[in-house]
Order: sequence, then C-alpha cells, then structure tokens
Amino acid sequence: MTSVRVENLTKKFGDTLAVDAIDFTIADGELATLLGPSGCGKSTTLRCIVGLEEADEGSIYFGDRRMNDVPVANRNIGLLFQRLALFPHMKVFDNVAFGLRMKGVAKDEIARRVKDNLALVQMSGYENRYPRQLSGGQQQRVALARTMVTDPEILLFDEPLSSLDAKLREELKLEIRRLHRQTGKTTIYVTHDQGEAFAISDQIYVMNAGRLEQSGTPLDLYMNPTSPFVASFIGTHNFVPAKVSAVVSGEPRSIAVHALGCEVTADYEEGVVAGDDVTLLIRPEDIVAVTATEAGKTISGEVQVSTFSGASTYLEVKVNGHVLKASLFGESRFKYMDAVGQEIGLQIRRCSVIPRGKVAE
Amino acid sequence: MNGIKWRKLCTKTIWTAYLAFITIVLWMIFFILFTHSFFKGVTLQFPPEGLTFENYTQIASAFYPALRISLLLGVATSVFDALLAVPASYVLTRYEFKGKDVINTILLGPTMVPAISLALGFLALYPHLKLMDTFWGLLFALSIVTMPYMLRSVMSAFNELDPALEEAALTLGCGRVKSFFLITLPLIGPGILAGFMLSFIIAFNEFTMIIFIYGPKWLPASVWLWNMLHMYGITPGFAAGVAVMQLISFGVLALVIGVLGRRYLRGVSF
Repeated sequence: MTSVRVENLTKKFGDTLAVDAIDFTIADGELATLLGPSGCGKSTTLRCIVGLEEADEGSIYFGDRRMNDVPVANRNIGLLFQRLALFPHMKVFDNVAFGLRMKGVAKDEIARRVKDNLALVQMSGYENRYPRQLSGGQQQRVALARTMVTDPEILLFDEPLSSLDAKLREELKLEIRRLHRQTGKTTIYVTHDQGEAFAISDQIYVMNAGRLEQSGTPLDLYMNPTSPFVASFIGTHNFVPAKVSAVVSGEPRSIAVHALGCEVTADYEEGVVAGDDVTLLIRPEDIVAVTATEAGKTISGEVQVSTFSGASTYLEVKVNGHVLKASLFGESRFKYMDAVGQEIGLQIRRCSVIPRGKVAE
Repeated sequence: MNGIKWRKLCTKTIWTAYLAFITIVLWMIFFILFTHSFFKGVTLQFPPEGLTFENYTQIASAFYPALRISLLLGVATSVFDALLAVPASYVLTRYEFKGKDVINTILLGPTMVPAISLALGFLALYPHLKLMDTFWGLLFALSIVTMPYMLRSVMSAFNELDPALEEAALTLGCGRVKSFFLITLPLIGPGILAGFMLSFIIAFNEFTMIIFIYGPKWLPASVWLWNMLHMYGITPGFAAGVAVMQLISFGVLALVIGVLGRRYLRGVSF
C-alpha cells in the first residue's frame, strides 16, 4: 500500500508547457481522479507517474521513494491504457499471464492467479480466445485482469472507458469502483468525463492548461468551485454579477447579495465586505418556478428557450437583461415544457460566489 | 431483357474478356519458354513436339553452379536487407528528427533511378575497392535495389504496430530488449517476410545491377542465361534454364502468400 506524491512536476513538449509545476498527494488506498478537458495535461501527468514520460522538473514519490530515475519496468505499477493494448498475437491467458511470467512466478501459481483474476472480471472460460475474437467490453475486462494480476502497488487508468458505448461505460464504471473497494489499492484515474469522475472518486483533481485548478471531493467541487473554470466544467452553470449587501456570520458563512433584482443568500468562504462586486454561480437545477410572488425574492422574465427532455425541462429566461438557464424538475417540467414567450416567476434556492482573482474562463 | 440486366451483362462480358486477354498475354510472356523446355528440338516451333526432360539434364552441370550462386545471393541479400531495415524502420517510424524527409527519399531512391545508371556507378567504384567479382560486391549492389522494397514493407508493418503495445509490455515489467523479441518482432514478422520475398525474387533474378561487376568466380544464373542466349540463340536448353528460374520465383511467391495469407498481401505496397 503506497501513497503517491507529486512535487513541482513540470513537463514541456517543445515550446508547449504541458504540465506546469503541479503538486498533489494521493493517500494510500485512495481513488483519485485527474479531471479536465483534452490537452489539460492530465494524461501527461499520469505518464510521468508511470515513467513513460520523463519529467523536466519536479519529483514523483511512491511512499518515501523518489521514482524519477526508476525505469518503468521496475515500478511495480499497473496501467490500463485507453487503447487497451492487449497483445494481439497472444491468447487471453498469455496476455494476462505476461506480467507474472516477467516476474518469474511459478507455472502453477501463474495458472491459479490468471484464473482468479479472470473470474474477478467475469471473463472465466475465455482463456483460449484471441483479443480480436472479443467484443470491446470483453477486451476491456481482460485488459483490467492483466493490469491487476501482478498485484501492483499502484493502479492507474488512462481514460479506459472513452471508447465504449454508454451502457458499457455505466457497467464498467461501477465495476472499477467495486474492485477498488475490494482491493483497497491506491488508484489514479484520468478522464475528461465529469460523471465518471463523480461516480468513482474519493478525491478529484481538476486540471486546466497544465495547472491544478482545484482539488476536493465531488461534493466540494460541485458546491464550492473556486474558479469560473471549475464551476463551468463541473455541471451546468449561470454566472451572474452581483453586489454584496451584507456579510452574515455563522456556520456556514454566507453573504447576502443583490443580483438580478432580488436578494439571495450565497455560500461563501473568503473575506468580502458589503459593497463588493462579485460573480455568483447559480446552477440551473437550483432554480425553481413559482406562481406566488415574494417581493425581493422572486424574479420574473420571459421564456426564450424551452426544451423538454423527459426527466427535466430546460429553460432560458431573460431576467433583467440577463439570460438565465434553469432546469425544472417535478411537476413544473410539464407545466412549462412549451412555454416560449410566456412570463415565468423564478426563485433561486441556492448559489455560491466565485472568488475574485481567478482568470475568467 | 430490361435495361439494367443488359447493362450488367455487357459489363460482365467486357470484364471477362479483358481478364482473359490479360491472362493469355501473361501466359504467353511467362510461360511460353516454360512450355517449350519440356520438348525436343533445337529451335522453337509452335506447336512443339516430343515431350522430354532431357533439356534440363543437358544444362545441369553448367547451369546449376550458377543457379546455386543466384540462390545464395538471393537469400543473403534478403537477410542483409532485413538486418538493416528493421532498426532503420524503427527509427523512421517512431522518431522525429531533422532531415528525416531527406533520409526517407534517399533510402527509397533507387527505385526512381534507371538501374543501368546505378550499375555503371558500381562499375566505376568497385575496381578501386577491389570488389569486382566478389560475393560482398554483388551483395551490396543487389541490396541497393532491393532495400527500398524491404524498407517499405517493414515500415508499413511498424506503422501498423501500436506503440502502446510496447508501453504496455514495459508497465508489465518487460524491459525494452525483451519486449522487442516478445512483442515487436512477432508482430512485424509478416512485414519482414513479405519484404524478404520481394528482396529474394528481385535479387535472384537481377541482371542489370550485376552485369558489369560479375566474374568467373561469381557468375549468377541470370548472366549465365544471357551468355547462352548470346552464343546459341533461343534453344530448349535455354528455355529449361528460364523455366527453372521461373519455377523458383513463383514457388517462393506462392509459399510466402500461402504462409501470410492474402489478408496481409493486401496491405503490402509494392
């Protein structure tokens, strides 16, 4: 069981700075996800941890050992590739046994461990097939077995589900989480899919343009994003300018802001004073439709877009010159499914403030 | 018969006629001497008479030493090509470096230049290097013309090879050298074999490149046949020699296609 510590990691490709001095520590047994859009440096970071890329600056530690100069083959890690990389000229059995054979494990033990790991991923009985004879999902499972059979200290996943269809992705997502709970191994996962990250992670590291934007549990990131980028990358968003009316003390800290012509209470952490200009994050799902008007709390406007998608209705409403996105659930979703041109009353149930000082998206 | 059916029938007839024509012409070019080698008679007649193997036995003592030399050169050239092409292809397909395009062009260049000009180059160079009428002299000359084919085949195999496979081997504890033999080589094997086949057939039959640099010690079959032709014209003995060359060439072709399967040949660019 090992922790992974990344210190001041920097990696350049020619003139491009792919990873820009990032630091983080993953605790022993944790499942941490590097989350971000394409090109944010998450895969590069992962490859530096694995050893397939050499860091230009910084250090990588497994526990207390500095790993920068340790060759890949000696790092005792298991990596599941995006493209799977199953050996096409070997049967399933030989693919899974490969790592064990490299270690010089005895023949009968190899047979036993391959059998056990194939059972773990529900691929028993496929030992004599070739990878090309398997479906995408089956290949994925075999690749997973191959990664785990050597009992590595650290498991790493590089966007393993991106080439699968939605249903398979759902299944394998839960499978990966189940396996993590079962084995308790330190796991590092890389993805651009927020839903995947939320489903399996203990801790998420959001990356953008080579930098670490924010880290936290899924709830932290959803409730209290610290930058416009994180706020927009996780879930859907409205950014609304507001003015602080008063700072309310107590736990949780909150402030009263004036926005869009109403008074709302916003979650907040750092110090602001009354009169400051701030940016509010209002999630569309935190806006509800109301029929009764409460002065100072209800805002109203004209519906410009209305889309019914079954579980919810998506609206765009023009309020005080600002286009607000709202998602309605429950009965309201039927009431307003065809509401373009109508006037609608809305209330903001919850919002939070994006700290100043972060570059706008 | 309605319009569509009529058009289909016409198209089918035209294609069949075309293929038949090509086949017959090729048959005549490739196999006319082959057929005549089995018949008696000093000169070629059509239709030939007297089925016999005596033409083959007649030339045996004189021809077969030359044939052995051609076979040896064919195999040696292919092996030499493979040994050079594999590392070269690895570098050319996996790494970026300055002047890569220039090197690419140079390596594939011999196919774009008339063979005779290359051959004259060797004629000018070899006496100074004391490579006239030597095994290595002939080998180098033959590998110059065959290398592009081996290179193309092996490079194509490397391009198909997912670099992630080598990385996967690394993460599973397999060092770079070991993974070359366990992963890379088996997967580019078909490419090497296809290149080998091409190199062998070209080197085995090659004439132009070696006509200025052969000698009494190293006299390949193609030159021997030319000498025969020069001195006696087209004889059944000559036809027999040609037939043997053809048999070996097509035999190798058939063998390799049989081993690789048509599936791979589709991907090999000639």
